[in-house]
Amino acid sequence: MSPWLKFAIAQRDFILSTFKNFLHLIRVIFPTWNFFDQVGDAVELRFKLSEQMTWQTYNWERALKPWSLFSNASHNLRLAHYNVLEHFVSDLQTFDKDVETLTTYKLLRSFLVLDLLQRWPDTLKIQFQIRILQNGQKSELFSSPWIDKESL
Amino acid sequence: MNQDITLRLTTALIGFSIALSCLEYILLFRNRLFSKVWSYAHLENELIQSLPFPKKLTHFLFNDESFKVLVTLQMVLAVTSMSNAHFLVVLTLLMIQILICIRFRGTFNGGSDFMTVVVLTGLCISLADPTLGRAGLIYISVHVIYSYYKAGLVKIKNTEWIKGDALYWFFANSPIHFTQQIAHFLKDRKFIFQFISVLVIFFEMGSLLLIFFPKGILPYMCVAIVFHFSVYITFGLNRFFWVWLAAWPATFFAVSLLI
Repeated sequence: MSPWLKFAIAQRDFILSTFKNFLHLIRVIFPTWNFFDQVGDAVELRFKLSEQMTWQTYNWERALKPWSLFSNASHNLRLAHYNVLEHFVSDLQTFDKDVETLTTYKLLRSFLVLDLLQRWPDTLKIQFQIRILQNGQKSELFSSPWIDKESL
Repeated sequence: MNQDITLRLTTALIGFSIALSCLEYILLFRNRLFSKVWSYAHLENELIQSLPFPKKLTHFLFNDESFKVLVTLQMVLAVTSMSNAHFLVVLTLLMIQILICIRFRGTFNGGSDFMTVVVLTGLCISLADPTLGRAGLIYISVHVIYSYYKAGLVKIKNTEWIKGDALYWFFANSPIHFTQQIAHFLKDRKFIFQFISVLVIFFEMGSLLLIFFPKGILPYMCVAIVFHFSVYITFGLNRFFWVWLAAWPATFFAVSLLI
């Protein structure tokens, strides 16, 4: 057996996951045209700003402005962040290592913390939680550790 | 509509659509939720591990400053393409579009990014050589017709769509407050959602009939534009509206060839 083949077999998990990530990054070249096909599993993002506080649901709502047909930047950014949340949920189901190393975790943590600090600047620490609504039942999927303002 | 006019119109419309997207990025540059969250520092590891590029090239292409340069360049080229359909301009737009999508881990705005790449690819084919003019426009039209058909096929296989429950669910979970209010208001009249769902499925699946009844292209195109506008109103997807509009002249031209 050639040394290259031996190397490839030994590293196959790494090679496959790298290739899968590469395909994910260039997926714009391979359109799927599946629109509004995922029904039922609503992902809920909740947060707490202190240990005494009860969980608050993160609100994704936006109102359209008269010019939104031409420029809807903040809404499209929110959609991109919601996609990050969905990809993080998907990553959680396949990734068994330290989730804090995931790019989706870094993006999600960053956007949520920055958004909450913009709205409540005196906040010292933040915790977030993800719940999934399946068949009318809400179940907890992930709870982050407490995130200090200084660690950002 | 002849081939030359179709090419010019498609290039102008996709240029307009891309210019609007670039304007959104430029407006977001000063938003910390954009610049800090989507900073190269957060994306670096994944890009370096997943792309078959040397580390220096990845850094050069995707760092924060390069992204601003790419968006600005794309804006300039998009505006240029609105008045002049040139192969190199369209090819550069395509390359930049792919780089921007890679930077956003695949896409920033899902289907609208897909269709932007499809239209730019079709235009590249058409503008590469005069003998390929039709081929590129047909390429775009095949994707447009298939995009409606595939979207309809996915829905018709799902009983929740046939019953109207899926549409109600999407309305109730829409990020647009107004759409949520409609869902709440019509909560006890789900037959309305069922009726709209069936209409949407008929419309989407009906795209395939254009191949057999090409004379129906004009009314179908009008319904499609109204459909995309209503998707914008209910879900705020403005980029979808513009990019599908840009894809329609090519579809109109290609289907008209069958008459």
